[in-house]
Amino acid sequence: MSSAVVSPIPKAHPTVRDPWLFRIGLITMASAFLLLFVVIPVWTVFHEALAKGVGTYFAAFQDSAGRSAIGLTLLVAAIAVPCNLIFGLCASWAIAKFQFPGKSLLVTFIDLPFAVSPVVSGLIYVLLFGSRGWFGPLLSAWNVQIIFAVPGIVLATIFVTFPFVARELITIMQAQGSEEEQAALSLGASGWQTFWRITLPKAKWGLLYGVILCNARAMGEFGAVSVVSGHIRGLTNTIPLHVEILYNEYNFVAAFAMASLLTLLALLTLVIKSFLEWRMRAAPTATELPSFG
Amino acid sequence: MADARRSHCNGIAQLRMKIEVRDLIRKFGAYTALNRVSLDADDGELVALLGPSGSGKTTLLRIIAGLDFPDEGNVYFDGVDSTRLKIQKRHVGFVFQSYALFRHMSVFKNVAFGLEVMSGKERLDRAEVRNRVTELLQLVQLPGFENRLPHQLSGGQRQRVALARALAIKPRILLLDEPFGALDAKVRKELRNWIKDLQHQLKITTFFVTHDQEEALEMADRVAVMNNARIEQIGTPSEIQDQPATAFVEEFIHTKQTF
Repeated sequence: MSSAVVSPIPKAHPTVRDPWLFRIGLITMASAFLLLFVVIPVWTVFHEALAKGVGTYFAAFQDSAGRSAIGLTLLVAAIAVPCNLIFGLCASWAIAKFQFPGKSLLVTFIDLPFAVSPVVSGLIYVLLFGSRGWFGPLLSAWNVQIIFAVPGIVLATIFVTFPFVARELITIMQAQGSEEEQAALSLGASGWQTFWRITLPKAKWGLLYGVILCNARAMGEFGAVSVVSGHIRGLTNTIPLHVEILYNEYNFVAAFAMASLLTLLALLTLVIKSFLEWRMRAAPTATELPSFG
Repeated sequence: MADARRSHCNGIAQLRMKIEVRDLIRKFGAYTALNRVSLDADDGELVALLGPSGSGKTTLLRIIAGLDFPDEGNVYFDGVDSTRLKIQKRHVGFVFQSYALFRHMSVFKNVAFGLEVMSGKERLDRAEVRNRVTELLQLVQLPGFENRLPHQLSGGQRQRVALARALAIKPRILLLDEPFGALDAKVRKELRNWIKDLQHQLKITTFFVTHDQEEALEMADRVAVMNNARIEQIGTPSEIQDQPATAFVEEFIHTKQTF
């Protein structure tokens, strides 16, 4: 009884237990599922990649098409992630701190890329900027190519990944309110100083969390990028597209070697994500704590 | 300790302010928060804005601070129309009900914030900032708390840090929004006397918002009783108690506060 006074969440009584068969059954099913759908595929990626030895594995990255795919993936992420960082900050600031008409519509639209199929996301850009699209004639008159070129890949990636940072920040900023910002202003800080010294540091862990997820998706996106890329080897193939091409050419070692890069990125993302989740839980939330004399 | 307090008092004493509020109207859509409210405060006066929730007292405080702006009417600081003056230019010390301490900064950084964002000639060097913060933390009886984070402090300590932070910029007036709202009864009583003493020492013109009539009558030089977006009566605590101007004041003052 006394333990219930100390902890607000009553613990399950130790003598009341679910039947052991039921518990073991559930644990086995969950573990088997994870093994079948996560562990075996991940293991397969590295097993196949290293099937013909470490030398062959690393040779896959010496190939010029492979290198250009890695380079393009890094370039696209290097443009898309900062864009979505800035967009996410603007959108979350506007949504969390101001009241304006159409606000709920904006929030809904931020979720759109999660709801729509990536292939459709890619097709939108083909319809807009393709040679027979709305802006097609204008672009060809200016000699600007977007579809089947790097700009199209960047645009499609930005579209698919923009909810990550914005959603994370909106939740955090709405929870934190704007009283600290008002206090900073009353102490003579400019809007700019308030943003850099108060708003941004308060949201930094959530911001990093959004950036990490955004980056993982930007580097791994297949569908939308596939539609706008044109699959020009050495020019418009990102890592995921290059993997597909290699696989279709029965070049399994190279395909899995490339895939192992994305897998490593995913594992790294998971580690950083767990760290950030831990930091956000540990971060001081002064105004949420109850006061005690 | 006594020296520190005196030197700080000297710094603030010359900045006392007379505040005049004239015919303020503030509407939020169809809801009227302030309906022709006028109010004065003399140099160094402690004025309580007392009323039930929704009476407009916090809106009035926020308009004096520059956190909100009236639809009609004016606010004068020492005779100068300051109605549209930006909050950064007003030099008001505002203590929020939730204290709004910067949660990611130490106590030192919190108190130093107003000094570190100053620009141009007013700007202090590092040693001066350190001295001011030390002085202020002594003033609010929290010496040695520089490196604590806000979540490591009790409610009463947080409030005193918020007060020190507001005083750091040598404000022309001090505005306190429900300063004891988040504290338990015992701490509330202690801090009440302490803040009253501090205000008398500093002689800084102060407004504070409260819904607790006992608090208002005990602390304030004058009390403005508010109801339904209007001021029902302004007077000294004894005037309010002995000659309530309206039936509302009579009832509100003599009803025991229930929590």
